[in-house]
Amino acid sequence: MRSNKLHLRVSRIVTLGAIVFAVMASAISYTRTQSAESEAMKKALEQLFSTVQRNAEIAAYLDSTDLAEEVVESLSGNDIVSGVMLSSGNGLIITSSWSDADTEVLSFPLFAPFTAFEQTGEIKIQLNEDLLNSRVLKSALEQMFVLVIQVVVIAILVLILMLRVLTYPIQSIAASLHRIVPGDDNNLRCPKGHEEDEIGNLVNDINKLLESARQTIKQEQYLRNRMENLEKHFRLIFERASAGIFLLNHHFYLNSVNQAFKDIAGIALEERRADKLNIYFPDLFYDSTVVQDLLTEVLRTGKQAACDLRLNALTTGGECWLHCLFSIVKNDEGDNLIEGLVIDITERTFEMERILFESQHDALTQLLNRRAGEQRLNNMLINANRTNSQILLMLIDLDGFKIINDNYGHDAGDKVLIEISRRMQSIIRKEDILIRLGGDEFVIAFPIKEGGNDESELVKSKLQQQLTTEIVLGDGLPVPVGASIGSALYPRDGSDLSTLMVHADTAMYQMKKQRKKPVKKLLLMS
Amino acid sequence: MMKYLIAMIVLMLLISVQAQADIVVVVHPSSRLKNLTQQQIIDIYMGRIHAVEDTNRIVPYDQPQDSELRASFYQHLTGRPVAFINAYWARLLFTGRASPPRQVTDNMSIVDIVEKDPNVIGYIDERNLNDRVSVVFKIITHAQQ
Repeated sequence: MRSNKLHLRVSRIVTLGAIVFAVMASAISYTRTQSAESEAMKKALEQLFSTVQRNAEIAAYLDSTDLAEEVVESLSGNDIVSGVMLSSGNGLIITSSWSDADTEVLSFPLFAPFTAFEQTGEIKIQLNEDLLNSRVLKSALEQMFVLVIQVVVIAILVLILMLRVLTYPIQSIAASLHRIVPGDDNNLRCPKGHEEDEIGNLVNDINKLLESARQTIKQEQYLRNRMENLEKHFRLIFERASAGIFLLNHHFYLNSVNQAFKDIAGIALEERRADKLNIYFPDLFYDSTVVQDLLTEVLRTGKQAACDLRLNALTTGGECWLHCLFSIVKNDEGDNLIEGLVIDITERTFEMERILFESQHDALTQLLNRRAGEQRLNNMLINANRTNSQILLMLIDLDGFKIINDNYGHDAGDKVLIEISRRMQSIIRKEDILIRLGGDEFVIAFPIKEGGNDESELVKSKLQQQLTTEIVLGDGLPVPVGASIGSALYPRDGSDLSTLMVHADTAMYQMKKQRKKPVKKLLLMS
Repeated sequence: MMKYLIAMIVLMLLISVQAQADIVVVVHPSSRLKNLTQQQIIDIYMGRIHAVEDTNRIVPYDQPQDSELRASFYQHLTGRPVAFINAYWARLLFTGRASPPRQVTDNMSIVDIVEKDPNVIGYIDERNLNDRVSVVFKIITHAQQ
């Protein structure tokens, strides 16, 4: 099993390298030692020879066996010599433990002692190779031993240094890094003595990294909190809003709605509770095709649209109007959704109608008032001008209304006015105009078809009849009334309203003069 | 010390020049030995050979141990100082196998011995040469005079 600890690995590599180096060095040193030892041995042999050279020469010179034997014995007594052979020119051969094996042999020529160049013999010495080898081996082993000790010392030193310089600091850094929780305020402490080296740099860089991670985490937390708050607010806004909010998919089915929307459209929703998740939005409305077209348009153009729409008939039977605002939003997948905002404007709608009505009508008689009436009349004239038709305009003034007011009180007068108005209204058609100009003056206007004089006369007579029929007040008191009517025909009597009015007014006063007496008579009669 | 040494050497040279004469190796006139080579003379005197060819045993005689003639003889014959020769014999004496030539007391003795014994060989100063002996080798000890 191999340990993966850094210091062990480095030590192993260094040790292996040192061992390889030691083996190589040993091999080299072995061969060097061998040759050196061999040389030294040869040198020793030469020296050895030189001590017996003289005797050997003499022995060879004299062919003296005794002397030769002495020489040979004395040589072979040395432990570096394994065998000696002395031979002379005359055939004398003396040997000592001479082996015929193929061993290293040193030969020395023997010269005559007195004549310089006469070789008289030869001496051969065999090296003691066993000794040589054992010496070489011993020397090599010693060297090896020293190297092995060196290797061991180096390995131990490297191990200790690695431990002290690298592994312990890195372990302490790793341990403290392990303890650090991202986002904490803890920093790594640099191991002592490493402030300026790579470990110090590492610690600093890690601290920088931790710091930036911390900043990021803080920022993230801050943003997340803010997001959560925002989301809460938005949800609150969405859920508690008084306006109904909803989201439609592009097929106009409801995706989500808030409580307000449920409340506003509640009953309709409840009706569809069985199919709650699949409500077709236009179905909620009275005129669903309009809503559908509108939504299609919004989806097509991408523009906002706002309008008032009537909800589909509620079970309570009442009308319900919603002001709707549609706009396009894109969801995360890029689909177009329709976001909508609805406000219940039912009451407002009715209020508006009431105000409009009141502004256009006389509070007492519910007839058009002067301002609205004039506008209608002008419109009618413009219409008639376009269609080339005639309009009969009649100005009606009640006769003796002041006397009724004076004699019977204002309540009675009001009752008379209401009754008169009701009667006139029963005569005219829907498209005709009936106005109370003010006080006891009224205007009736209606178009007359080509050659419709009979019709206008009929209306006039009907009107006369209605206006002269006496009115019975609440307490059973009959009140006689009468009216003066002046008429004008557009375009015969004038092309604009004021001219026509003046004409009608004039006609009415002439009639009033003629009928003064009968009215008085009426009064007198009562 | 050095001065004495140099003076002594100079003195010795003078003496030797004075005393120097060629040396002749002599044998009995009846000896079959007529001419010997230097090598043969060396070998005879160094104990290597005891006869030349088919002659009888040859017995070499030497001049007295410390005589100038002996020193000169060996010096000129072997090219080595007499001390070397002395050491040679001393070395051989230990083995007990070889013995150096017999020594005589003066020049005349050699002549006498050679005259009496035909197997004897000796060397003498050429100035002492007479008809009783015959020369087999002559050693020129000095340059031409």
